[in-house]
Amino acid sequence: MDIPAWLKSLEGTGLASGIRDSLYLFPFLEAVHVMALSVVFGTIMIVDLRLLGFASTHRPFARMSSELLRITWGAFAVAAVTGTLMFMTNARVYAGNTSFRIKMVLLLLAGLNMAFFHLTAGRSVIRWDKDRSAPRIGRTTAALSLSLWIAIIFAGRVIGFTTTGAQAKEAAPPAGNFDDFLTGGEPGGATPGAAAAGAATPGPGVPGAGAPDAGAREATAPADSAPDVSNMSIRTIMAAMVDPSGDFLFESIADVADEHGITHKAPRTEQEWATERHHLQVLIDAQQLLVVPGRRAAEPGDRSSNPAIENEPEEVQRLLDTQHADFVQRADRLRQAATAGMKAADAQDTKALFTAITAIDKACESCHLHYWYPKDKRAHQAAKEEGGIIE
Amino acid sequence: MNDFAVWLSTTLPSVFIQNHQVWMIPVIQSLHIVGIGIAVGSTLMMALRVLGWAGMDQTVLAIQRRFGPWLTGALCLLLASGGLLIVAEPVRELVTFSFWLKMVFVAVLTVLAAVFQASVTRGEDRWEQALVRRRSVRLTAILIFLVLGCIIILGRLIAYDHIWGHLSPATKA
Repeated sequence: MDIPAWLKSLEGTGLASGIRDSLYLFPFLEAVHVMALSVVFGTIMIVDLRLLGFASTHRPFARMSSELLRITWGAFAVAAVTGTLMFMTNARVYAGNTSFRIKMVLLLLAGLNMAFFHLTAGRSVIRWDKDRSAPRIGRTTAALSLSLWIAIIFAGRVIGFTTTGAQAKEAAPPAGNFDDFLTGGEPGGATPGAAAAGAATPGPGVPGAGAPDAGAREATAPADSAPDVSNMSIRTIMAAMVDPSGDFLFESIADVADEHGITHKAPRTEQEWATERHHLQVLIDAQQLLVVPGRRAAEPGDRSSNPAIENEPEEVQRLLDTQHADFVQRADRLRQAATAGMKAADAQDTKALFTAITAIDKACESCHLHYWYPKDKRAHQAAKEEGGIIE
Repeated sequence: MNDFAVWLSTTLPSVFIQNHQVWMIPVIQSLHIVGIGIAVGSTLMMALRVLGWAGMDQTVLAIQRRFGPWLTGALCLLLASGGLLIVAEPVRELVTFSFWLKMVFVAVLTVLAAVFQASVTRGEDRWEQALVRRRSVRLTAILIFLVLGCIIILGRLIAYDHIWGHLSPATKA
């Protein structure tokens, strides 16, 4: 089984992205997780101290533990569910985190320890139920259990302190790798995630790809009034250039609530601002590529995957052919918004950059709603509420 | 408060913890969570006994004698480790709305717990016979547990204080 791919698909689920996109859900899950684990630890400690003969020594063990362990298991279920949900939001980073791995091993050991207790001292409970403490094997498992759970709490807390920097960056899907993409995907580049991300294979006609065999393929930017020598469809230009750069920009600036608290994500280093400018440049140039006369909507044989709300390629093509001036205007809104973003990036003005990127989002959505998925009522409603409809 | 927090962060103990924060802060936080676990476990046992949902083979006084001192001990551990966390990161704690609301709930819980302990020790018979059946007493038992839940949630939210928007002093500063 391909574990990295599976972890990635976990991160891609609607549930995971829903939690990631919310400022409230992750903190809420964390708070519930702490509440649940404190019940788990508190009740286990009471049972363990009874076994050790330190407290509740006058109470029969069997009755007390059966009363408590119901609560323990209920709380453990809550902790497991909230923990799994938090894990899903950034599965590859957590799976690679040493503290997380240690915590999982300790949990497994705590489970084995418990099973061992039930198979040994637990079997003869009738004989020592009313004694001050359990037989030696019961006391040993109790001491082990207490130590393991304290270690689990510690390992869990350390996760939040160690998932920073390189690791987090490596797993953030769009970060870094597009830079290599633009510079020709130098092998052994500084970004460890690039090779794995699979984005390093230059597609046809990527501006600045600079590969020596580029001449064998189509010319790239339609300089001046160059005819459309590229065979790429709008759909391919979107998939190869506009979407990756757009996604990068949308993710580059945001408020993020994760295990480090709330952070304002924005470009900070010179390198990050340079990358930001590269992606803005792609969007500025894309406008020229998109509006070239005769550009096809999609590749031959392409079909809509969701015809209930999307136009089929033929319909998009018909609209493009009959409303070319409108399309040029809409594409120009993308160029204008990206140009404003470039100005903000030049001034390293985060606030203006955010405004520009919001405008880019609206330009995209407005054009998509007109040509691509005009039957999507929900998207229309959302765009209306955000003031995104530009007619 | 802002100035005080900034001043505190320049004092010797604060600087010492900051210089060793790689391990000291997680260790103190873990101790704090262990304390929360003990407090929750003890409170849960006493609340469930008052409600008649668990520990019915014991008198209220016996349960209070078993868990009351543990709750007091846990509160001391929590105050000590919490105090260290404030010293370690005063600006993170003292200028957040979550922190101050949490302190209000901590005060409420401490008073309720003290009243309960004193009342059980003084009027054992009254507790066994009448009080555990009284609706207001049972509701208070549930309330105490809810207050404890709020304290835990608010404690975690200190890291996410922007959630409170304009209520948070940190966003005003």
